[in-house]
Amino acid sequence: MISKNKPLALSIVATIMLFGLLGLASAEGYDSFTIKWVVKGVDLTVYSPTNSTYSITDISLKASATGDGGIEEYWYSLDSGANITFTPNITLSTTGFNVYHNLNVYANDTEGNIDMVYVRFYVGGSGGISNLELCRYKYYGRFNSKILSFFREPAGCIE
Amino acid sequence: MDNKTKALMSVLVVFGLVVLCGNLVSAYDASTPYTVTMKWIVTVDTTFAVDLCGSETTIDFNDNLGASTTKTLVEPDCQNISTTTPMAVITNNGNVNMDFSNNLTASKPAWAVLSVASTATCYGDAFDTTAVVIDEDVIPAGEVNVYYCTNVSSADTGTTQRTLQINGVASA
Repeated sequence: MISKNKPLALSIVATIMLFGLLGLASAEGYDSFTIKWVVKGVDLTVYSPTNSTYSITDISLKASATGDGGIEEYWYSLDSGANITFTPNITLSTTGFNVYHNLNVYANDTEGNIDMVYVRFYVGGSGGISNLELCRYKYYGRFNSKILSFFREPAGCIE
Repeated sequence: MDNKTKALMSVLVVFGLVVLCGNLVSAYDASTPYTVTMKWIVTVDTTFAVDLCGSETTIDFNDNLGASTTKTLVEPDCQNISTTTPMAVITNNGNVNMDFSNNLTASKPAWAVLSVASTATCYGDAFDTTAVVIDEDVIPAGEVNVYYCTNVSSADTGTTQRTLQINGVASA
């Protein structure tokens, strides 16, 4: 038995084939790629001490960092003293009372990128400091003709 | 054989005869020439190819960004405007003139500006998820050099990525 709808169905198929032949069904196209921003470096955060006043000389040094290929090590320098490697978190034993302390905390990754956080804090009695600076600098190193050069750029200061 | 079937067969036989004799009935002469429609149906081909610079498979702002979180006019790896080495070359492999545009499929990071140009410059047209024209009316077999640049300001460290889409349509 012949379906009444068959001629209609054939017409639709023929129309689609015609459009296909004319290329109207493939008038557009696209290609896609991944686009990446890769900012190398270490992102070091120092949670303690902060730019504030402490009434005790033993100060907690709390820090953590992330970096390409993993963090290799942390170190600090207190009041321009020697660099001391450490594994967070530790306690800093400062000396003196009613004195300012300048602390540089560093971390590097396995690719030689370095981040540093500078903290200025006060150990003393009442009063203390009202306007301290907390500055961050990004350090990064590169090998060029077997010479390792270090570069520094400010990553922002907080007053 | 019932009457219904006989009637149907009769109709089919008559129809067949009409079809068979159709051409014999149609007569052409000096005043009635035979005509037939001739058609050239050429499929519209809008295929195109995109070749990235060197052996790159992605567009990476990596080497020239280094550890800088703030930097302007940064070229992707492999591209070199000073030597007019584009990041990508689009080839019109179709048979009609084509317009090419591009866009990101998701919004760019807020700390980045992205630009595209068909000439060797970092001062192209900024774009995001809305397609911007790279070049128009590119003839078949024609090529378009594509240059990308970015500015970043307080960029996140690590890798941030998006999908770039290059669109090709037949020119109007």
